[in-house]
Amino acid sequence: MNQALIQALAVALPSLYLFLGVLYGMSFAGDREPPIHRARRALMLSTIALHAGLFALLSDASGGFPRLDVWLSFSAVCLGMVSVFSLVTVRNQQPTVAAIVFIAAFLLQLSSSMFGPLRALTERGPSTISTIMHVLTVVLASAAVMLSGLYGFLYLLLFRQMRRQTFGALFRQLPDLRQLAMMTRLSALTGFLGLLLGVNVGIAMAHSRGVEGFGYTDSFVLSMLAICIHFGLIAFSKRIPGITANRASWAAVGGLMLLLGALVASALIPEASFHSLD
Amino acid sequence: MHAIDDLVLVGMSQRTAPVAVRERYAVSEDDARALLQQLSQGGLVEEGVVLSTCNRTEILASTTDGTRGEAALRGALFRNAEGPHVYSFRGVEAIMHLFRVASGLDSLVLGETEILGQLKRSLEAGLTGKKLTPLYEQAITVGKRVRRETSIGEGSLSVARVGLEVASRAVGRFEERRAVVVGAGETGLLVARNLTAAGIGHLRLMNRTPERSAEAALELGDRVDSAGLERLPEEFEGADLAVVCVDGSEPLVSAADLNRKALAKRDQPLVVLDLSVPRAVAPDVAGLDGVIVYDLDALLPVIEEHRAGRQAAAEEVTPILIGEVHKFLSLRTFAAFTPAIEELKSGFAEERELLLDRVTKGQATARELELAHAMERQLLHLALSQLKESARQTQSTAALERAYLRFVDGLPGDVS
Repeated sequence: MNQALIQALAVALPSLYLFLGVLYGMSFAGDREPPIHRARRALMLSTIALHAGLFALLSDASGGFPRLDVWLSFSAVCLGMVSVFSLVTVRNQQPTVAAIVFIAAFLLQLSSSMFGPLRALTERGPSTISTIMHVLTVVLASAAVMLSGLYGFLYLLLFRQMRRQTFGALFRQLPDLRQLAMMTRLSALTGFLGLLLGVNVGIAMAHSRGVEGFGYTDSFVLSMLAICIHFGLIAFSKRIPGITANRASWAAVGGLMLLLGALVASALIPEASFHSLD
Repeated sequence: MHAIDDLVLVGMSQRTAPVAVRERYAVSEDDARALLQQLSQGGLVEEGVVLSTCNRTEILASTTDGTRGEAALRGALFRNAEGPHVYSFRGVEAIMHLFRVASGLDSLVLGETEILGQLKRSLEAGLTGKKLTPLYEQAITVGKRVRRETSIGEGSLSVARVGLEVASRAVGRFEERRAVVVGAGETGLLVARNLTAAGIGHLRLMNRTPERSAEAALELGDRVDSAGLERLPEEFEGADLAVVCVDGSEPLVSAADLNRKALAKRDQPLVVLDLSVPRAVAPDVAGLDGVIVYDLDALLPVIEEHRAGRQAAAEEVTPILIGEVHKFLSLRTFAAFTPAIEELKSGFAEERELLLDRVTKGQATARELELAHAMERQLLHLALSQLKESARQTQSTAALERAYLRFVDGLPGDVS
């Protein structure tokens, strides 16, 4: 029964995210947007609940915390991203940004559903508190980093439109430059703190050699340190002379590319993974 | 009485020329006076008014010869200007254009009201007499009437409001921002008022005459202070938003005046709105890192969008304009009968006296005198009513409507 539901959700979720992207994308029509605010909000919350339900089913099927492979990580990052987004924009609705976030979520979930061997994921993963904390914080951090990159991308897009004096739908419907810069930094701060905590917990686990599959090398530590510094700089860039909102946005987009590249590389080249997942 | 075609209007506006061209032909009030004097000395121009705003430079003149007058006005105001940038109207079309301008139909922002004040000032500074004064006064009345009786003025945005709306996409909430407004003229004060209404964090009003900005700042409230133009570049660098609305032929700020490094290090860009014609911010400022510049031409697409949404309101104005043009032409024709009316009056009085003498042999009683005067008044009233009706019928409303629609169809769209 669980297997069938897992399969059904794996198929339905990408479509739901795409549908949400289209519904929120209608906000680009401005005044001509149909009155669907409540319906799409309800659908967004239902989709998040269904996505969380997928992980609950996986957990139930595996009898503990599900083992995350790279493709399931895509799905987890996707869930983290939309959850964080819906939380941070609960007071200040940003439907146009939501459209872009849901399209990104659709791509992530589609990759996960297409390539992720979900049936094999019913194996139970290590269920210690430190492992769960490591996984959750790293997934949350990745989601925040992804959001930071998306906001940074939108900042650069709007900035470019303003410099070129073009007044299209993006110009009219996106949040203003300051809001986009603030969200880029806030998301980067969440990513930075999540990474700091998650990676340190992971290193601590590897150091204690208590958990199978966790290990680290000097180059891995250095690269993680560099990533933390990268997002730390973005998060605190408002107080750092020389790192303007524009440069911070470029850095956030770079971080997003790095994260996506790392996830894809881990999926395609197992040796490129940070640590063994088997 | 001259033919209506001797009324000539020559001009350049946002419909025909971009700001880079318009700024070369902007005319100050003093220059306008000198120009009109010079033209009247030539004998070709009897009366004239120059209207020079951010969006237009126009001269309306009553000439002794329409064709030669038009050439003289072009030569005086738009020497070396390219043909398509300059428009000219004669006679009824000149009147239609003036009424459209007063109604805000020809404005960058449909229905804006600043134009009425600008028309009043240009009339005061003009070389006017019995021909142009009534025309201008009626134009101002028409402007007020269309705003009162139609929805054209409702929800109308000024250029200042549109500019601030665009700027808000970069600076966000005005409450936490610092703004500089350069120029304490009509537009500058309008911008300052809009900014204070939007709750701007701090506003510095700068003007060539600091006393004027200080006086205005006092009226605008606690968050507004004032200064002269001595530290303009530094004020730019410290502000989130700078709005410039000044008159003058030379740019006030160029890239060389500003600290490039400081601007490039700003976390958020400085937004500069240049609402001046000629432009007061040199074009090279837009090339600096950390600066976004909008001039009037750059705002045109947003204004056009606003205008398109209010086209129905513009159509409500048409019957009023046609009616008012008709009224003006009728009055003008009737005025042409003034000598004949005077002759009629004196003829009637003479005839009355003759008749009274003949009938009463010079012994008319008070009652007979009163009766004779009453009859004379009644006959005169009938004759004048007939004359007025004839004057009114010289132009049929239907013909005027057709002429107006042809005129509007032939107008160029805004240059963007």
